[in-house]
Amino acid sequence: MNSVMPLYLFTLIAALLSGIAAGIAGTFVVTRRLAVMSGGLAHAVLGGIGLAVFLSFDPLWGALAAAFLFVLILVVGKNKMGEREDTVIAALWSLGMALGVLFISLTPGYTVDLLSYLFGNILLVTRQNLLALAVLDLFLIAGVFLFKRHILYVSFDEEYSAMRGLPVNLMSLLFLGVIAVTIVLLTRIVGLVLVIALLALPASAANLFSRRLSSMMLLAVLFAALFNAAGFGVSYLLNLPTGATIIIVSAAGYGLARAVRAAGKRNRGMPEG
Amino acid sequence: MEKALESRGLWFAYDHDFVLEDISVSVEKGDFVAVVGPNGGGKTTLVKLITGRLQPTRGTLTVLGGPPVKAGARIGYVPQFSTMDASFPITVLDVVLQGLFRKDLVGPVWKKDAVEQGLRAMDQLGIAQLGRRRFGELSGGQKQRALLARALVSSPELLILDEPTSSVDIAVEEDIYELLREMNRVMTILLVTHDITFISSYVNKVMCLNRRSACHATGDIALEREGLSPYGHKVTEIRHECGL
Repeated sequence: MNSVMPLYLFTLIAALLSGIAAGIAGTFVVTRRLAVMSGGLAHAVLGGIGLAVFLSFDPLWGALAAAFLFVLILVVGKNKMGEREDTVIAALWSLGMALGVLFISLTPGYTVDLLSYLFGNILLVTRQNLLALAVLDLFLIAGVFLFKRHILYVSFDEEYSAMRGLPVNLMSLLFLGVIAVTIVLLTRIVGLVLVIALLALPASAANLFSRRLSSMMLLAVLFAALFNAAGFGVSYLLNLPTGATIIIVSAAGYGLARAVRAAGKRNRGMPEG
Repeated sequence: MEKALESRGLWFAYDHDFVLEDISVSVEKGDFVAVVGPNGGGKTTLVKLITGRLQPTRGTLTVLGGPPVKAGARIGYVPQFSTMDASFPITVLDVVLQGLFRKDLVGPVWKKDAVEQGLRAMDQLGIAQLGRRRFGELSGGQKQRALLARALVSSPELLILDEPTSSVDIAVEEDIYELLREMNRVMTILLVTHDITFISSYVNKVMCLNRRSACHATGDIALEREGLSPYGHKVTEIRHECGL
């Protein structure tokens, strides 16, 4: 834990840093319809964490390796072997978790808090975790700024983008990579079971109020940071588990956004972006 | 002279099922071609081969004198708008500007002259006032015009349309065909459709596609008779020399 920085400041920074990554990667998840894939990936990552714990590595590396392996198997299975995508996801989802539980149970003399991996624990978040998140955020912001239109058009219409010579397959892979890394880094905070909601809910709420992909991303970042911070606050005040509280706050936030949107439509009579 | 489109012994299979078998066709520059045939006859597959999205299993296909992947920037393509994601956050102007986008355009902002070009294309299609609207909120006819503007904004040499009127009403349909007739003066047009009733007076060539073979009813299309389809629509049958 961090002795110098007060907890509220530390969690506020964590909320902001994870909000940036969750908002941008979440926009990819929602617009490219990758929610189920992301959920499967998040769960399968436990296999890598378990192996890393068993071999006494930093679990972060195990999680990253498992996430990339998941993407690799999914892409090869779907494109080269003609396997159904949802079947591959379901299989890897369970297999990853099974391997994780197995490796952790085989780890001698070391009782790992399995629950903290599944549901997150803000008290286990280190400065290194935040630093890694900050690096990811910078990478995402720079990438979105430079390749804003590439991202927009490949997401909107892959076929037309391919015809105009854009590297559609490479970009699709990069989207998956960004989502994978974001999930791994956010897992420390909300846990691998809950992380998908942190990606999907703020971005879905943002899409209700956006006419542009760029404004959807910006709004998703704001919503994610807000939901995170509010979740931290509520969990601290009421002494509730942090990860679960963040997700419940996010769901409530999404519901509120829906209601506001519906009311706005009724008032103006006509739909607007 | 360079042909707009030429295939020799073109075969294509998804996995092991052939969708196109031994297709040999040629389209001259300036042609207005209707590609007709039943669902599953390979129309959309042919379009994907022309736009470079799929590679032939066997045989050759040249588009505007070269391989399809090289021709991409000179082709305008109008997909079926019903296949587009209606919940995607993008403005109509940004949809149209996709027709000008290239991979070397790094950075978030469009140049002024590109935007003006986009606005001109929208004006030509009567949707200039919709530029800031969200694409998914447009009506079917408006979406179709936006996708047409995207295809036309780069002044392509070859314009490909996949069932452009399948989900619009008849007034819009006629408008679109009139516009295409005008466009045909400066570009080759390939129109995929399953109903040639309307278009027979616009096109100068019909390509019939039903997996096994494609053929041209060139020049004056022999209209055999007009009658009623099982659905009660007026239909026009075409007499083929090729026995499809």
